[in-house]
Amino acid sequence: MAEPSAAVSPRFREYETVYLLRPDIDKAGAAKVAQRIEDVVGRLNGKLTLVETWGRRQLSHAIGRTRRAVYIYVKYVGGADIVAEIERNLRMLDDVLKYQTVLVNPAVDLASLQIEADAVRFEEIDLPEELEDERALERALGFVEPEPRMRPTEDEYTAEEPEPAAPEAKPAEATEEASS
Amino acid sequence: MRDDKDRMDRGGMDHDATGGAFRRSRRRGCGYCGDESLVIDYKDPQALKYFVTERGKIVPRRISGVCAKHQRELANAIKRARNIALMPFTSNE
Repeated sequence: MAEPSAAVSPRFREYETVYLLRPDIDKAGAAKVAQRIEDVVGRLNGKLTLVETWGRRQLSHAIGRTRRAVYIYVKYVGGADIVAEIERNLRMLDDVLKYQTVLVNPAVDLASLQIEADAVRFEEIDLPEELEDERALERALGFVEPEPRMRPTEDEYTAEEPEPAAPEAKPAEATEEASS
Repeated sequence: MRDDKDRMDRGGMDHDATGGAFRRSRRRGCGYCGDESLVIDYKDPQALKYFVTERGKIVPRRISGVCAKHQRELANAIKRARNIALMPFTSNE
């Protein structure tokens, strides 16, 4: 029977995490989150393998009250406890709206990993301030139809409700009760 | 009184020469089985949008023609994409 090779350590797995930052986040706030992830990965003997900034995107559905968010994609190698620790840290940061981690590779050889320094650098997030309500601007410029009036018409105000009919006595039941 | 021919007219069926009913739609094979270079990825909502309805619901495989294995992968990918707001859970537009 062949012995398992010592070089491949099944303890290490590759994960990817996508986290969403508030759309109005500043450079320092994003750097703080990035620093926290680097610290956690370093502390647990893991390695960052890829970092991508997808930028500010429109969300398909609102998260809380926000309709836009800054997406950051991080790929890293680590042991079984690294995901719980990263997610615990992300949960504590108010700038992070949402996060999701997916297992990419269940067995990674940490020693043979070749990582480029540029690939694991967190980009500085310097986004222009967004308008408070983009639809308000579109509406002001006349690109959007005004919303339909929801007020009831005058007829609906003046229409009188029919008076409820007076309860009629039921002679059949009354006679039954009297007889019993 | 309705005869058998009338009954077969319901449900979008056509008739062949012998009077038997058959479906008009042609069964398509699984696109992901045919082309191994295609990858199901939750980070690519543009590729996944063909497998959800306008309302955002996952299209059943009896409609899309995807095999069971890839339908499972697609469903997982769509749910992951929804979770990070890359795809809608539902849409009323």
